[in-house]
Amino acid sequence: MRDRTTNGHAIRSGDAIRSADATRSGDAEPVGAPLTCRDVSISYGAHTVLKGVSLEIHAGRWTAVVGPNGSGKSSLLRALAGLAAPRLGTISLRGRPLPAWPRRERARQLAWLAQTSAATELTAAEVVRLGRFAHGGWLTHRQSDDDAAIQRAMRATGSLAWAERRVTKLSGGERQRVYLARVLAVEAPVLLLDEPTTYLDPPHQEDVARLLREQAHGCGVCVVSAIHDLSLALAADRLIVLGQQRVIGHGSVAEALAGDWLSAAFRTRVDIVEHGGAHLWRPALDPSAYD
Amino acid sequence: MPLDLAQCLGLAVCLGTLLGLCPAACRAAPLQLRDDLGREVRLAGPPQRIISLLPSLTETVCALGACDRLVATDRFSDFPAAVAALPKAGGLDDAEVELIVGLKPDLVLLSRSQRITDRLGELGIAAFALNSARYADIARDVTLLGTILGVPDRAAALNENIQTAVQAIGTQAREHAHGRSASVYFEVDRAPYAAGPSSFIGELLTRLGTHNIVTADLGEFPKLNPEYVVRHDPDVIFIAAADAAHLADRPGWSEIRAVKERRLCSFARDVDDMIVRPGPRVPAGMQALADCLARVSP
Amino acid sequence: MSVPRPEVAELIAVRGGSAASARFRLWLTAWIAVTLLLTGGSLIVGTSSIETSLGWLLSPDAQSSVVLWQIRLPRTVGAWFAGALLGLAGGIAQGVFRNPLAEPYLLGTASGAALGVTLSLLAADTAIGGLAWAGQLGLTGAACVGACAAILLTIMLSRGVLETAGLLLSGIVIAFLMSALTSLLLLTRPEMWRVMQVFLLGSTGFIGWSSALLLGIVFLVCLVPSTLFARGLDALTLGDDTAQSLGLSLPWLRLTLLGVVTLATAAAVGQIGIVGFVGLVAPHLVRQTLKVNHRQLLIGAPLCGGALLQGADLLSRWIIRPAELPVGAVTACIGGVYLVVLLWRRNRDA
Repeated sequence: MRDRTTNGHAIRSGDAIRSADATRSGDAEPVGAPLTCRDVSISYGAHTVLKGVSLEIHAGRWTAVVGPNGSGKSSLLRALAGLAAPRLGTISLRGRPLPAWPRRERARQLAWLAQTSAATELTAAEVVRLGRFAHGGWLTHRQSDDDAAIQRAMRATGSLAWAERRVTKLSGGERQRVYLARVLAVEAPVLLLDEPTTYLDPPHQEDVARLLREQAHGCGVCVVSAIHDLSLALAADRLIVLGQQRVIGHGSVAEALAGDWLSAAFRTRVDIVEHGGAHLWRPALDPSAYD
Repeated sequence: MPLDLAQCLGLAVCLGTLLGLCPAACRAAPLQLRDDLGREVRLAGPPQRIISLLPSLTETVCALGACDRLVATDRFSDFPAAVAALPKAGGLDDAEVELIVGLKPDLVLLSRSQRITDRLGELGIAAFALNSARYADIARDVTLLGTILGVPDRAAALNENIQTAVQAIGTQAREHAHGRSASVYFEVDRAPYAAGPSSFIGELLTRLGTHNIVTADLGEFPKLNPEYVVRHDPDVIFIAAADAAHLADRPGWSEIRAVKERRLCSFARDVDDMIVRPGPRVPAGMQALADCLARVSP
Repeated sequence: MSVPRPEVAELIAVRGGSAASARFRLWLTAWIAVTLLLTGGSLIVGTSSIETSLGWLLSPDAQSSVVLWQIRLPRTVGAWFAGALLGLAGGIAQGVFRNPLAEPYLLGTASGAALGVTLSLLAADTAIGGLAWAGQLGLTGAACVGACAAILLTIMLSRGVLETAGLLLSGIVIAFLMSALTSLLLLTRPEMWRVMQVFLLGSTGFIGWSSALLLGIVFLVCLVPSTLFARGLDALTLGDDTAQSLGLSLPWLRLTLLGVVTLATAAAVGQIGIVGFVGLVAPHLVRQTLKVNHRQLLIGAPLCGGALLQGADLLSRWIIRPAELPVGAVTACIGGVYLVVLLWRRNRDA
């Protein structure tokens, strides 16, 4: 197997390194948008969460999904990951509807990070190794590129230091980074992350944001994340704004601000200021700001 | 002054009447007896309506000629045939209190281990608990029941008969064996639970001149290590018919002499009842044991 | 190209650490040693005194050979395999239900086996035509079939195996229903209570070479898929959704693993009756003393379970020799003590 550490793009010191070749699963080239939704309607039991969702999510971009609580961010991500079938409409990956993909192949294409993870007795390294499951399966046991992928993923998330420790013995932030490493270890061309910055302190939140940007721009991965921290979300390339059971708008951050989608979604004035090239959310704490 | 004839006659009549009335008076006299639970049971007179909750006691009552006084039995009492028509008041531990109370018995006979005694006491019904487990209990039960029923002489006669019969069968069995004492194993249950020499069955077997491979210190019905039977290699095995066919399948048992030579004794259900009930049919039960022993003993 | 030093350390860490593997190997060796000791002990403990037994080993005769090699050895080997099956089933159950107190009898297996035995006894006793199959199978077969039937009914009742809570609930329901049916049937034949009691308390008394061989084969058959799918159990600990996103088919995984649990438990129950606590204590003990992933757990739990049951069998034969205690009573005592110690330590640490 080729040594992925040297192939592809330039090696950046200390950060994740991935070959652009990894975006190919060996057959198709990126054809149009990797993920498309056509008229998708998502329900949670009898309750409709989203309807009439038609989107295209492109590779090489970091797309952030924002919206108020209960607007369907997690549900949308789960539907995109193929974990919950939409009640209406089709979600397609690379032109093929999700149900048409064989399970193992689809798992190699889509890596999904849950919002909350159950407690597990495994070591950090074992958790990250599980990310390689779709590449090996039951009978194969330890390829050399598995080890390399795991190392890279753990190095990128800075979790190598506790590779042998039990996950239950780690702090919330350390654990989150291990789970992130697991998702990275899949080396899938599509990353779907539900609240990846939970439990992380600001420096590590920065690291994650930087990592996601790297993956998108540097490695051509299609990154979709649900982030409820607006300032962090606004650092993404594109936004999907959800609210009132529909997609209020999806497009670049500039389009979102111009169309004031955030205020429409949250049904209250959301104040975004620009500072030093970044868009930041300024919370309105002044009592006179309340209408 | 010498008594004249009239006075003598009068006296004789008086004495005669008194003597004649005495047994009736004795019969009508209230009884107070202690049962096997240590309770004092008072009876106004010999009970006329009796419920028996133990098959051996049913058989004893009938053997004493008081079968007509039985108004109900437990579901296991099946001898003599007359009791089959009687209402059944449940089993050992699930006696039907309502049925019993509804029949208004003068006395309920049960075993010491039944839990219903307190309940009956609360409801004001006289209950007499008898522990009928050993051979010696038979004679005692018969005597006690004779007293209760008011037929002590019949009881004595019954006891006499049982004893004589048992002695005779025992002597005959020993003679038949020509002084040789066969070693026996009596399996009560396939766990395996064995009948020890201190149990009722064990006593019968000892009287027949055999010796039990189970020793007295192991208790009445010990749950044995199957290895024990293999090591002691009994001459005769008493076992349920259903298990007899598969004895050789038990690991190591195919080496036991009794299994190799098919010296096995199994009994039909009704015969089995005679063997396990410490009651008046014990001679018949013992005879069945003796017959089988005579047949299969080496 | 020479590999730099940090890379090597990272590689080892990523591969699972040599310290953990070494600890596991040591643990395995210790339990194997215990097993061998117990096997030896089983040969010399029984109705004869230890000195006599040792004498037999040195100078055997026909009868003592039968006792040693036809009775004691197959009994202890069979007990080991039965315990191993229960330990394996318990480890898988704890993984599938993600509950450290799960055990193989959770899905109604125990009640199903008891019902099967009752029907078999009834068939032998009465002439009810419909029950002839139960009589034909014998107690062992009937117990097996009953256990399998119980699990099938549980799965049918919960309509699919995706939801573990639903499975547990239907397991309880089926267990109750079958117990009730068993009790009703036994009421018609109270003399069968004692046989049932023996079955319910477990007995290793009549395990011969054929039984031991059968248990051994079933154990190997169960071990293969278990170690193969152990990683699936690891993935399940991360959560159902995550496991699915990794490419696992949850229904198939659960079905296969439950199938293994069924086979293992039914085989064990058929031969030795319902022996409790082994399936619970063995995997639990492994996890308490060592931190392991599921592949290691599903190797360690059978070893532990086998030795536990061997030890219980030995004790049951020794304590009131030459009489015998039901082996289920001994395992209950051991299990009870273990849980009490666990609770005490937990309260002390809290």
